[in-house]
Amino acid sequence: MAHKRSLRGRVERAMDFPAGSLTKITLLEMESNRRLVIDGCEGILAYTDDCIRLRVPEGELTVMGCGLGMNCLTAEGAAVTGRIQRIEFSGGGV
Amino acid sequence: MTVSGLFRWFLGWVQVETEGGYPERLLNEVARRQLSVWGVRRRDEWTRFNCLCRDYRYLRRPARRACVRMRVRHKRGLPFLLHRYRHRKGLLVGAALYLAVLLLLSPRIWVIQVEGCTEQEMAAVLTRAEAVGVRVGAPMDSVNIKELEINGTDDLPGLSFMTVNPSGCVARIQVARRKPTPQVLDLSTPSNMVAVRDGVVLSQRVVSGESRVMVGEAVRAGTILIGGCVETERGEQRFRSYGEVYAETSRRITVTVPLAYERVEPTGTSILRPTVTFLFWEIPLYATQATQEESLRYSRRHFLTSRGMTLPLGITCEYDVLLHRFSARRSPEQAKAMAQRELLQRERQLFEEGSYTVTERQEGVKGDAYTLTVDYTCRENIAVEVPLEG
Repeated sequence: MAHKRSLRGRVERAMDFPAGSLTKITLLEMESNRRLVIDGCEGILAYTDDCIRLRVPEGELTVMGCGLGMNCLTAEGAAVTGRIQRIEFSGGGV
Repeated sequence: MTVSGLFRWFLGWVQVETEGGYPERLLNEVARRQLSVWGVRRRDEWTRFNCLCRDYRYLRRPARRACVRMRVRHKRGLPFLLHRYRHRKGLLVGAALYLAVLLLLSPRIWVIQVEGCTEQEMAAVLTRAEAVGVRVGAPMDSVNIKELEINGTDDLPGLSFMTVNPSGCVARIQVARRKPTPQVLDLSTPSNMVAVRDGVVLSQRVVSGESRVMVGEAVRAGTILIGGCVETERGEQRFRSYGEVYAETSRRITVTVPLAYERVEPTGTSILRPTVTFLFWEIPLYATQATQEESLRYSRRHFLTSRGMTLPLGITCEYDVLLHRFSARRSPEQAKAMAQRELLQRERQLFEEGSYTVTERQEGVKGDAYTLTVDYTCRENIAVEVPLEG
């Protein structure tokens, strides 16, 4: 799978396609420190009001802050709201 | 409320509160099943989230697997509202009636307003508008506006244009008045100007034609003052004569007021005939016929109004005030006052132009009437146009 993804990644780069169009990567979109839209979220690992850990293709994404909540949750993504203080990637990797 | 919020409100949604277990596992399962979930909040022991009410039943099994206790905290949306009032059939009937009334009555004309014409022209304008479909209760779409614009003012010389502006249930008839065209003197028809009464010529102004009198000359009624038939070197020529001849004339006004007269007074009894108007229905609330006795009839309209518009809902009260006649007699003073009023009125009518002075005044009771006779010396235009014959 890693080889396949890598091949897709190479094609994506060669064809100048937007990132994520062929490969499975996490796209983050942030509105100030109030809202974070995560496209490519694969599940929730832990959820408290000051820390949300999400499973992403790259491994694990940890969002830390105060009064965190999830405004929208689907199979492909999630939207985290609240006062975001830190975003951290850990483990795995493409 | 956002568009998605409105959509969810129509479908109905619940706020779910979970306690204990592994809420993350439940949320993952929810996302995997592609159920719509929003507003997820975690505080200490509990987790709250919102989902559509139709998806709630799919949460039970994942909740058991995730070992969470789940309860519905709030129910929001149209399905719950309808469920709450399901036993109140009247509300449903009322809503259905409301919709029916709205659909049936909103495309019709219920208020007609006329702008830009006088009260005298109003009736004619409304008749014209009615002929093209502007009447209370008629569909707004059926109004033939083009026809009104083209032929609406055909027999109404005072008006130049008429149209209807539909505005909801209000048909606004807009009328434009015709500006009077300047009078052009038609010089093609030959005529004379003759004296309308006896007098002594004081001044004259001849615009067209030949003067036949001199200042200071006494003239009798019928005398030609300005002639339209003029002898020239080329023979007789005919013109239309036009001008003004002011002369000193004598006038007399006699006013007679009888002392005995027949007086009409209300008996104090009146018959009320109310009629309720609702939309285009007129419902009489009386059973009595019109009285055969002498009576004075008047009516009062009490209609609902809104922002200056009279709505088609109200009551018209028609009153018949019964009258009785009896012989009466007025005093000479009363008769004199009446005669004075009558004289003033007639003076205003007679001497609209020119000036006058009173030369003699005779008044007194003669027989069974008060008579007031006034002689005047007037300064007035005595010339009137008479077409030339032959």
